[in-house]
Amino acid sequence: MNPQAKRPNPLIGFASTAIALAVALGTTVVLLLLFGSDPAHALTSFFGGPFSSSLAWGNTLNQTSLLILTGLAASVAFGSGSFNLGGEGQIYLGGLGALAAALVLPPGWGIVGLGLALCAGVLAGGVWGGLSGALKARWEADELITTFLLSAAIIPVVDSLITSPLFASAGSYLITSRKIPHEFWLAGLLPPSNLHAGALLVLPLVVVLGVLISSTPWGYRLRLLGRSRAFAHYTGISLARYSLLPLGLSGGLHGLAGALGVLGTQHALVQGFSSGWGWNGIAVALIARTNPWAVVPAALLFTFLDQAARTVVLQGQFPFQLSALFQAAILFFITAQLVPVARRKLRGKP
Amino acid sequence: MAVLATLSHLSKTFPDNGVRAVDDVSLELNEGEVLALLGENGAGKTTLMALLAGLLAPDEGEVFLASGLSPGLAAGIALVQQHPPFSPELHLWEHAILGLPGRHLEKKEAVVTLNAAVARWGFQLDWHQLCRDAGPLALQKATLTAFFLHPLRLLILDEPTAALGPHEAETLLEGVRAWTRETQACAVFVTHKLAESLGWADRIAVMRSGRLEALTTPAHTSLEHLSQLLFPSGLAATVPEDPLPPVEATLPPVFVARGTRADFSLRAGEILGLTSLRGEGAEDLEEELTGLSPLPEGQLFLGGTDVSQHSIAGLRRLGLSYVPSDRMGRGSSPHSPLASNVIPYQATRLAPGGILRRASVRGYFRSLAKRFSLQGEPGQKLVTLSGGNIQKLILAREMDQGPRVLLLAEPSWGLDLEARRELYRLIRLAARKGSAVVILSSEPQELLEVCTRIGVLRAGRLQGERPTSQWSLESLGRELLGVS
Repeated sequence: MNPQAKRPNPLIGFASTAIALAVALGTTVVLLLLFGSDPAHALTSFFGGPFSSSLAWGNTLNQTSLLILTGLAASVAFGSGSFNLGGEGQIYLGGLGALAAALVLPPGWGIVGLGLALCAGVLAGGVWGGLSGALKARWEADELITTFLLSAAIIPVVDSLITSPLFASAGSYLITSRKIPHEFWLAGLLPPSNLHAGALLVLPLVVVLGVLISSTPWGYRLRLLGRSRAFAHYTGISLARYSLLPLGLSGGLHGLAGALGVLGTQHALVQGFSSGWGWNGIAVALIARTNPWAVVPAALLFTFLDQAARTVVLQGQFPFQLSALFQAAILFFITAQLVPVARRKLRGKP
Repeated sequence: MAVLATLSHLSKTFPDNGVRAVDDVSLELNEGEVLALLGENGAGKTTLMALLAGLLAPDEGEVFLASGLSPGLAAGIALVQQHPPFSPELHLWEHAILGLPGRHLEKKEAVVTLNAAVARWGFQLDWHQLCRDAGPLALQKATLTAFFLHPLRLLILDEPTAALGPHEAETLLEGVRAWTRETQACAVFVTHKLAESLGWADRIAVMRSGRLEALTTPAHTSLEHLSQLLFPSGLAATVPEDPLPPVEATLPPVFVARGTRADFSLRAGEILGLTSLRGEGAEDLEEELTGLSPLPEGQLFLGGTDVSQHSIAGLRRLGLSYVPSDRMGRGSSPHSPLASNVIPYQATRLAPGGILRRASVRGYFRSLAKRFSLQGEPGQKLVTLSGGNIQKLILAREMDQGPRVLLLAEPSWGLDLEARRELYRLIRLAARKGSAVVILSSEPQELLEVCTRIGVLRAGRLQGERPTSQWSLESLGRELLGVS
């Protein structure tokens, strides 16, 4: 057999993603034309809405930066063969960690205190993710289950802490904690939008993680583990250590997203403020095929869709559910082509 | 005596490795008889039984069944596999009554029924344990017992006595024979044990390389004759063109197993071959010698260090390299590029300053490819290579560690003649460079070609270990079968 004959063309992977995208956008346009009272207006607000003003721009970028973080978090775990379904709880806990630090530290600490509050968020999420890793390393508990259950269990705990005397605020109709001191706010970048200085952390983080995963021995071992667990074990890689690390790192990234939400946007812990970020991060990681570099365009695309759908719903008398339908159509087509990949991955488990 | 099933010119080739496992086999099975099916590893016995049971479809030929008989428990045909499929979360009694027709059985009632059934076979079973904890032997017994609650007319047993003690084996086979007499049913059992087939079968079929070699009765044959049929003396071992130099007896041993199921003491430059029939524990030995499973008894020393408790990572640090029998699952990452498949032990060395440079990774692959004449480009996925080239890549990766001990399991499985010759050349090269080599293989012929010493794993111990020059295929076959 000619060994050259079967070499797969790397372009095929990109092309199939592009085709899936095109089909999904086509479906979206058809939906808009079918259900919109004013199709032309609906189309312009769908495709132009997310960029129509600095407010819209800023919100799009802020949401993108958060999704990049949660997308990276899911990618790190998936790419090394660990399934982290606990993003929701880890993000929420990261927010709580940042809040607690920001309320406890003296406001005079300024930027140092801000850094510590971010670290507290990372640590809180990381410990919660790492706990599942430890359970897997010690008792071979399936992280698919433990990440989800630990996350589901911690959310009501955080909810009740918000309203407890420790953190509660008086006189707000939202269920929210006290505001954190101004000294610990991440500076706004494009007022009145939600974009803040924390978003600037995200791109350097992508570069660091991208290099770590694609070009270091450590990342090589993680990827080997994700591709073929039995082979990784056979080569002498410690399954215990490499179960703990990616889940801890994944949890830490989720925690950072939660901390940014609290320190940059809400300046308090509002109940359910991060709802959906974790699941959307998983969708982003799937679109990016767990490649850390591809997470950036995938997150941008996902945010665009979300914002666009919200805009048409607000402007074009669409039923509210339609925005979810748009996203579903696009996710459906993009993830459909990933099924063979996922199947292979699951088979690769020993 | 009516015919129950007729196999007519059956052939089956496995597309994965191109092996013609069953080659034009015709055979009749009669009511009220016990047929023993003999053959060495890979002779095609299990495939033939799967064709009969309707688990596989033949490429050519046909299976004719008596009226009212069709594959499946309820329709009268059952195959008891050596490792029956099971659901880990079921209790053994639930496993046993699965698929039993009729009314719903309560636990108490079911266990009473099952205990009555099991008594016939002289077994003792705890029906309340989970299948997950039961172990293969208990599962096999439970499955067998349960099958007799069905209206069976044709029962196929794949190596039913491989894991049984002599007394249990006798009770089982006696019970099966009595059952065929009472109900005019037919039982076929696959076995390696010649004495068993002579003692309990009405007819004996012998397979070799997919073909039906002989069909006889115990009255017309003998241990000697059957052994001759399985391992013909006419087949001579081919002598390698480049024999290894003798190893000095003063050298200290490098790899030593003491008090284990296979005790040996190996010096640098020696190639020890271990062979066994299926079910004698060679698969477990592969895991135990490489730290993938804990050593159940005894001690293992590598370079003088006690490694009995070491994981595979620890053994590798002390100089073990290992070419596994499961090439695509354990030995490689099939959907990763060739370069990723050769650098697991080199990753740190190839990353000065912590960054794994593409150029140095590719450079390493190219140098390895040149020294071992490997096929393919560094970015190419492993699955695109042929089986022989994949095996050569794995061997090159492991040999490049300059191992103190090189362990290979079923190294030539699925390889063609040319690829085998190249493989044997490389294995001898490793020994010449100072590795102590262990080969676990189910093919005696292969060990005669490449090893300096050979031993046989039988009845849970290593038997007759001695220099290859003192073995022939015939004597090795007799040792395997336990015929003295």
